[in-house]
Amino acid sequence: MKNLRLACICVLCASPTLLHAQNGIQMVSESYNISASWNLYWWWDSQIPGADNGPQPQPYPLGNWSAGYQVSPSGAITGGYDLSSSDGSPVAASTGSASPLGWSDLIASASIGLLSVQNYATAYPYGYTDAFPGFSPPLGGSLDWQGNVQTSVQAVWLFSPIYNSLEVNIYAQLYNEYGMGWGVNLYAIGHD
Amino acid sequence: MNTVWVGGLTFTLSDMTDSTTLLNISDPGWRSGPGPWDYTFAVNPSDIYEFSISGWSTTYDDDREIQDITASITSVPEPGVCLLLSLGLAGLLGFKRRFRS
Repeated sequence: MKNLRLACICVLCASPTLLHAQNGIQMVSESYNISASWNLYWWWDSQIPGADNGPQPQPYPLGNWSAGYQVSPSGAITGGYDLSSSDGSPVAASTGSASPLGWSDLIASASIGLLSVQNYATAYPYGYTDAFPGFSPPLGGSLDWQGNVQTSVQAVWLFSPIYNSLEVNIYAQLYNEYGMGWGVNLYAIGHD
Repeated sequence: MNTVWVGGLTFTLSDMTDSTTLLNISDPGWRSGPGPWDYTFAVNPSDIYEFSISGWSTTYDDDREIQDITASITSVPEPGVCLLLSLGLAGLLGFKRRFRS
């Protein structure tokens, strides 16, 4: 009887990984990366017959609102983030463009934690105006703007199962909205 | 349905020890539509497995992309293992009872 009790105690203590595992899996490594970049272009349209109406980047014509942002050689105002983690620490970041017109045209944000990934991007940067305080388009033209956002997320988990059957459950909410009223799609995939 | 695609999403599950792919789903929303995404695999506890999620988006004029994914991975004994364990315990108890008598 004494030996039986000793055997039970040994069984309970035999697998220390069990004590540190969650849901019957032992995490070996967790690697995360999130990145995003955005570009915002501004130009004026002269609207003169025979004139060149193509985009003519104006990197800094609108006052000091763009101070603090990077400006590319092509005249685009740019921004973004690039974060990584290889020790399982959660990563999260967000970025966005300012606008002299008073709103954020381009927004990106992302976060990754244990078996959880979020990635968001919004781009509402298309339009024009013929009246903007502090900037008078040459020869009575209009001020036009356009932009884009690119994002990416990667998460890799290495693990070892404790038992011989693995149950994987994925819950994914995907939402896509396209410009110019083309379509809206919403998917809820899976369940907890 | 609009065919413009401004984002993508991929899930993979691989056995890194013997280089086999157990699960590989790309763009689930477009290919399969809503549905349960529950999977069960027979695995080897001595192997290392990799679960990955990757997503991307490219948004332009008035576009919006949201990807929100949560997964759970659980390792459980196969039913056959439970049955064998139960039989073993029952046998042990029987042996103990016989030994006492």
